[in-house]
Parts: sequence; structure tokens; C-alpha cells
Amino acid sequence: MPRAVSAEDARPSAGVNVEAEEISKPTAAPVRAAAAPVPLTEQSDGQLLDGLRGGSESHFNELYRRYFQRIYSFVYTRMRNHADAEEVVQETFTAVYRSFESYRGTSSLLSWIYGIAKNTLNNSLRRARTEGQRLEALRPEALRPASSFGDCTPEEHLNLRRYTEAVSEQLESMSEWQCEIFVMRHLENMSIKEISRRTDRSSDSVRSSLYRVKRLLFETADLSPAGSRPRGGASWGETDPDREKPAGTSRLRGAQQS
Amino acid sequence: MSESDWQAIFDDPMGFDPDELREFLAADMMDVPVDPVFREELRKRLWDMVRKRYGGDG
Repeated sequence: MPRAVSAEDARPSAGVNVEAEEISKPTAAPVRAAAAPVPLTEQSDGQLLDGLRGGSESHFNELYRRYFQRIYSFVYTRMRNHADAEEVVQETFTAVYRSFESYRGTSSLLSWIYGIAKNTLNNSLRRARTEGQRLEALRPEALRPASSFGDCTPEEHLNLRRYTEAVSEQLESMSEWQCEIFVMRHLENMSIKEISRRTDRSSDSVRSSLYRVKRLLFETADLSPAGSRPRGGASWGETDPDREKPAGTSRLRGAQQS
Repeated sequence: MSESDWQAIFDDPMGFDPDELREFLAADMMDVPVDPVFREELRKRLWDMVRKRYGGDG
């Protein structure tokens, strides 16, 4: 897609070699073609957005660089926890980058992004309050299947497959390290301390990540078609080699092999 | 994220008061450390999203 030209592009820019322009002028008409491009760090948000919409990775990178630390700092000062802050920052930027089409430029990009960060943060705090209560009440037995896979009826098999596909989709939305931590804890049965040591992250960060994955699985169960959730939830902690692996959990399988 | 949560993100995204703005600007002055792996992973994921939507350099 060709890069759209904004009104700001027409402004005289710093760093233009005026003398060179004058020398190369063939006629009295003003020549802009020889103007050096404005460095990205000096471009306005509008110019960077235009570049991004034109598919320029350097414009995208500059915009990301400009806002990432500001949003992260803001979120962290509210949450005081890097794992939770990362989650909110991830949600914020995903929402921002999915919604650039709806940004009309009636306010500064900074206030628009900040508003989205603030709302995402409030959402997250609200969810944590309600879901924290649910998770507190959860007992480990609840994650065990009511019967072995061999005893499943065809309908239960189908429901399980749908459920694991939905879970797989959710896993795709997580970062690699979140998946790895989940695998270490629930498939390799490692302690929080050991995971913390191996991943070079704090125990607090590991716990928060596990909590988030657990929550994702809950959301998946809630959103999956009625009856598609396996009885009692799926247990991936068993090690029966003949047991059918959940379909579509490629990232989990990859992590297991590593 | 539920549909209502998604909508809530865009509830009056420009609506913040001076105190909130001050809080944001104060955070801006803090030197909060960030996990570089997280920063880079998120950058890659977002760029992938942008590239799919608008086409890209590479």
C-alpha cells in the first residue's frame, strides 16, 4: 500500500541542506524533491502512523519505542508486579494496534493510547477481583477427568477435541515463555522455585503467569460451546504413553521436546 | 477477553482527569526496568499484526 502523505509531510524539516537545494535548483520554482528525509525520531506521531499504515517497519518500530516504556511505567506503578504489568501492556498494545483504523486524530495519540491503557488496567483489576475468588475455591481434584480416555463415548471424545482446540487457540495468544512455564509446571511437574531458577524470573512472576494461564483456560471453558468442556476439565499431568494427546496443542508439544 | 471487556477498553479513551494525567506523567519520569525479552516478543507480535493488515517491508 503506498504511503499516504499527510499535511505534516509538507512542513519544512530540520536537517535539510538548504545550500544544496539552492545549487541544484534548475529554475526559480521551489524544489522539495532534494530535501533529506526527516529522521524518524523527529517525525510526528501522525507521520509515523502514516508510515506504519504504509507498511514501514521502521516507522512501526519508532512508534513502539516512543510509547512502550511510557505505558509500561504507568501500568507498573499501578500493579507493582511485572508479570501482571506485562499482561496489561500486552493487552493494551494489542488493542491499540488492532484499532488504529478507529483513531481519528482528534486528540493526541498519547492521550488515546493512555486512555486505552487505563481502561485495560481497570478491566484487569476488576477481573482479578472476581476470578480470584473463583480460583481460590478451586481444588486440584476438579482438574482430573471423571474417566479415562478409553472410557469416553464418541460424543465425549468430540467434546474433548473441541475443548482442546479452543485451549490451543488461547495458548497461541500467549508468549512463548508463558507456555514454557505452564509446561514446566503442569507437564514436567517442576516446582515454582525450579522454574524460577531455570527461566531467570522471580517466583512471583512465575506464579502470576501460571495464574494467568489458568484463567485463560477458565475463559476458554466458559466460551466453548455448551457441553464441549470435558467432564471435570482435562488433566494433562498424566503420563500414560498410550493416551491420546490433546489435539492442536503444538506449542505445548514443542515445549515438551525442548 | 470477553466482548464487554473489549468494549470497555474503548469507553471514552480520551476521558481522564488532570490527576490521572499527572499520575501518568509521574510514571513517565520513573526508570521502571522492563524485561527485554518481553519487549521484543511483543514488538514482533505487533509487527506481525501490522504486516498482515497493511503489508510490510519484508
